[in-house]
Amino acid sequence: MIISLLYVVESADFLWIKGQTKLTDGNLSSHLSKLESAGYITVEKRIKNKKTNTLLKLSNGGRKAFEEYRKHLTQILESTNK
Amino acid sequence: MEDQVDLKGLEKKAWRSAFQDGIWDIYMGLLILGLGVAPFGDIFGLPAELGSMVIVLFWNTMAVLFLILGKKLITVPRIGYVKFGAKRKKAKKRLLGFLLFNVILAVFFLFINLSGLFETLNIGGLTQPLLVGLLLISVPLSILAYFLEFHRLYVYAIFFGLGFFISELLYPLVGSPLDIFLSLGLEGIAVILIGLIYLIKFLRKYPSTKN
Repeated sequence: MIISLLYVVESADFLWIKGQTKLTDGNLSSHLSKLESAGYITVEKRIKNKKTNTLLKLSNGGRKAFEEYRKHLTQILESTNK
Repeated sequence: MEDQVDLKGLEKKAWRSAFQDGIWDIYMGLLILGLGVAPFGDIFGLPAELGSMVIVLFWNTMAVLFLILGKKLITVPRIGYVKFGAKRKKAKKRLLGFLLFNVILAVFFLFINLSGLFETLNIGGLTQPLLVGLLLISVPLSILAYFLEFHRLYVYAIFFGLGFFISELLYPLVGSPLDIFLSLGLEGIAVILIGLIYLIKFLRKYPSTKN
């Protein structure tokens, strides 16, 4: 879901992704750390109005991986429908 | 399955969530209310036309400020920040082009009106305000609603477009400037109230968070 959301937008912050996915802060942070370590997303911490703001973007690698994943999944679904 | 997610649907849902705060409704309502109170321009002791221009200019500035500050101070701290992709940017460019065309069209209509062409074409009476309202308000607002995917705006477009027509109907009963206020002014107030209901619902659903 996180990757799907970041795929359809250019960038979004932590709060927006949290609202869309309905995940808790801790759960979302954990997912984001894993996705960042895998190189699928980029995480940029900024200070906005004296508060930390975390901006998230899908990396080029993440975009390609997601497209490949969708392609594979479509192929599997098509083969099972035959 | 999670993976079968409809990406277009997901993007649309995310985009439309921007209109759940009622701020666009209040903004549109303020713009129309501005037109509704414009004929009261002479209360400042200025000539009526100048006073009307001052009111419209002031009111429009307030409406734009409300839209910008409302999004920045109310919406973003509650639901977060998102920047949409290339498709929306393209739509934004087309929308700006259209709005520019609309300004040219409005000037053109103003010229036609001043030149007395409506009288020459025998378009007078109630047809003229109906035509002007629908062409200069309903059509542009409907196109704006289409580009923004802001569905309530289609309804507002029809009501706002009928504003001048209703004021013409009211004129023999209440005279000027009350006719304009009772049509456009009350329409504006109604839309602001709708916006406020959405805003209250939004504030209840998304209380302020300390990130």
